[in-house]
Amino acid sequence: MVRVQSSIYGGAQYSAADQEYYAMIVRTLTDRASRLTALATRWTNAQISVTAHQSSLQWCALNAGISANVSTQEYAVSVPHVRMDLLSLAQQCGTIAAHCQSTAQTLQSLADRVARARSLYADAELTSRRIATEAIELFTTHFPGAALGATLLFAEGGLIYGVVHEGKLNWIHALNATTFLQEGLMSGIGSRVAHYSPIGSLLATGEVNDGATIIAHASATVKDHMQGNHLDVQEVTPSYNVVQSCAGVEQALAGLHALGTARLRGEDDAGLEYGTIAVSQYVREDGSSAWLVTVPGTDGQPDSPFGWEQNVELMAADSAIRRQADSARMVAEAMHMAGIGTHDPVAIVGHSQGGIVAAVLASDFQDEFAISHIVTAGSPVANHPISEHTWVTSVEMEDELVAALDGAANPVNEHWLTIRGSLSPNEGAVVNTTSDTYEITHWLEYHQAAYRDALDLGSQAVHMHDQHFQSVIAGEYAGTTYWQGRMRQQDDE
Amino acid sequence: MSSMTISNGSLSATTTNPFGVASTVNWGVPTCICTTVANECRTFINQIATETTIVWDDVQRLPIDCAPGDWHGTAADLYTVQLSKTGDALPSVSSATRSALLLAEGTAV
Repeated sequence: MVRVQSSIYGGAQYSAADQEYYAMIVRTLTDRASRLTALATRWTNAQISVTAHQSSLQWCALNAGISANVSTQEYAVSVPHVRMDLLSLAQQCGTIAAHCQSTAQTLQSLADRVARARSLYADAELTSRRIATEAIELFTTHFPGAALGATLLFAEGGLIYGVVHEGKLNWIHALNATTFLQEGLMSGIGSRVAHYSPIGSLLATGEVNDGATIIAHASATVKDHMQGNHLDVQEVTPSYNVVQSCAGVEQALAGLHALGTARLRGEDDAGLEYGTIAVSQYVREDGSSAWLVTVPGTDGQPDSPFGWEQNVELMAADSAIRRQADSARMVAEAMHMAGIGTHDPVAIVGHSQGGIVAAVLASDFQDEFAISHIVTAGSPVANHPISEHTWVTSVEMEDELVAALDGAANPVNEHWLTIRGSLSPNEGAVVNTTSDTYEITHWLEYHQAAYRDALDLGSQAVHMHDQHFQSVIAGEYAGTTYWQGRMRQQDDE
Repeated sequence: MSSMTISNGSLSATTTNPFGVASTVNWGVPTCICTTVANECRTFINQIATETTIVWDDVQRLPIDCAPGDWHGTAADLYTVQLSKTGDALPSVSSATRSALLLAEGTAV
């Protein structure tokens, strides 16, 4: 059973007094856990000592029942004796040690939960992450060959671990082994492509996006030549309503899974094809409409607007390039066709490329839509200039490469909440996956588990973002329409 | 493991006490090994038992010392329940500690 534990960054800011109170709780719980662990060690040592003493008792005539010869018997009665039951004593020592250890583990687990629920170490974690990223970036910029070599070495180590652990070659272990390098490496590559100065790269966080701008000029031309640049968007009808009414982020992610990931995994039988998004309408009491747009990720099909190249355009620092990305154009056109008005509140939930599209719409289509809240799952959106009026809930997995492609951590403020999930052997939300081997955690099921674990923590920051999301799509569910996009050459009719 | 020496009619053993706990062997008075063992066990079990009482008293106060404050919801409720349950092992620990103390005393013959 695979589990995911979450850490929370940003969102609601707590008062200093509040944070100090919870820090005190964590310190107290950790202190008691440490003392209980020390106690358990002492009782275990006592158990060992008592067991060792047991062998000494064979020299006592009374305890060992010796009656070998006269001198021994005389000696036995000439000195005082103590009858000892050292086996039972050792047993009691072991019992107490076990209780102490088990309670210590519970207390440590509670301390971790409080720390994660209140994001107590978020600032320190983000600072150390930024320092590590910048250091790796600097190294990559100046010694690209060595950086590549080191990355391959770590990847190789991961592969060997995977072979030993699973008994077969699993490339995902190589990816996991380079987790801590990924953001720095991407920044370094972006920095080299965009010709950043050493000081400039240390201060900036948008190197990848600047690099993407340069690459996109060429890649978009090649893409247009091969795939065409004419976009067709049409309404399609599934055999059943795939994205149903939802009340919060968790259900919106479930709808996103049903629309995108289930199809990619071959579990969907609604008849919807790749390159399809969903637009759900919610009618408020005053008759106005609110909307939820559900956008799956890259499908890589030859005539899909959600191909691989479009990711580069969406990641560009240049707004004009981002707006021209096929997937962003497709979603914007479908939103217009579905009847979303300029002032209608809109929430967008997207996975992978779908999340980047959501960030691009919230950054570059503000004059066309009122994007109130976006939820991104596994999307590198740290450097997108998202309007401050838009709330952002980002869910990322620690060891997936895709979310690290922005080369930076997401901004931390009240409107931007980041939930970072990591695999956990014992605690956390269960991932709804049928895979029995270690698979890439970019699959949406992992983000869903990360969000569920964050909800289970009872974090005020998560609660506030969930409430805001609910308030955006408050109203009576009026149905979902489905829109399919296809790319073709201009003259293909 | 302990090693044993016999000198002047008295038996003694090198200590197997936990680190830092002094041996209570009285070298001047003829004693049997069982008395020495009892003394040693009594000494270190007493010390650990005292420490156990102090630590578990503190653990028992945790539901008050670490109340969840304004943290509400299912997670906070679960936290409160689990915190209150940390004291559940106390009766077993107390009982086992009392038994250990008694067993470490041995029975004088």
